[in-house]
Amino acid sequence: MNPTIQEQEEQAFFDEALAEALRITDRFVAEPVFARTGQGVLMSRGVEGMKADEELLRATAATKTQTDGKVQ
Amino acid sequence: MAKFSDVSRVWFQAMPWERVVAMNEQLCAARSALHNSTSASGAVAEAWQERQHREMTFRKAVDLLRWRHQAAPFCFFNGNTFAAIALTLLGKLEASPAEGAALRSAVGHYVAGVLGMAEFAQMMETLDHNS
Repeated sequence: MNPTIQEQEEQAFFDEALAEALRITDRFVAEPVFARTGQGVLMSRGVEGMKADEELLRATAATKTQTDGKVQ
Repeated sequence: MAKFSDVSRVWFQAMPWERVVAMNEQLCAARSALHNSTSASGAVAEAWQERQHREMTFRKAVDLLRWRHQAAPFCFFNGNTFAAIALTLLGKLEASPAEGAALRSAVGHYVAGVLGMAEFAQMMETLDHNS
């Protein structure tokens, strides 16, 4: 039987959320620290993470400049 | 009207509780951790099902995910389970790349519990009115 539209939407949301959760999983501790202390824990992304962020921002800014140029 | 906080829709329509449980199960399997429910699971599941088809603002939806994380319905990996759902909701907002990056950071850290309510409110205020 073909999945309904609702089932398709659920599967798409689930796949996206799971991929996101697996991507960020290294930054979380397994234990429910937030429940016990009222303060969550998130590991630092480190210098490599910062470099990646800066690279992404530069690329985004460059793309925006090119797009703006085309519009004008 | 605030640009992002006040966007109202049925945010959890496509995420029934069974899928949240399945997601946590897969996250636990990926890190070789035990997947199991805690004593809070029943109450959280009930609250989730009650609100799943209810329309609410984006801000309210994010608050609910933070509270669900804090309630810890699972033994392990509550944080990325609920933070990832929050980050997935961002795809339903119309935001520029810069706004999207700022929203991801603010929402992710807030649901993870490392950004306080007051700080998050300030960040959302800035994003809602200055972007």
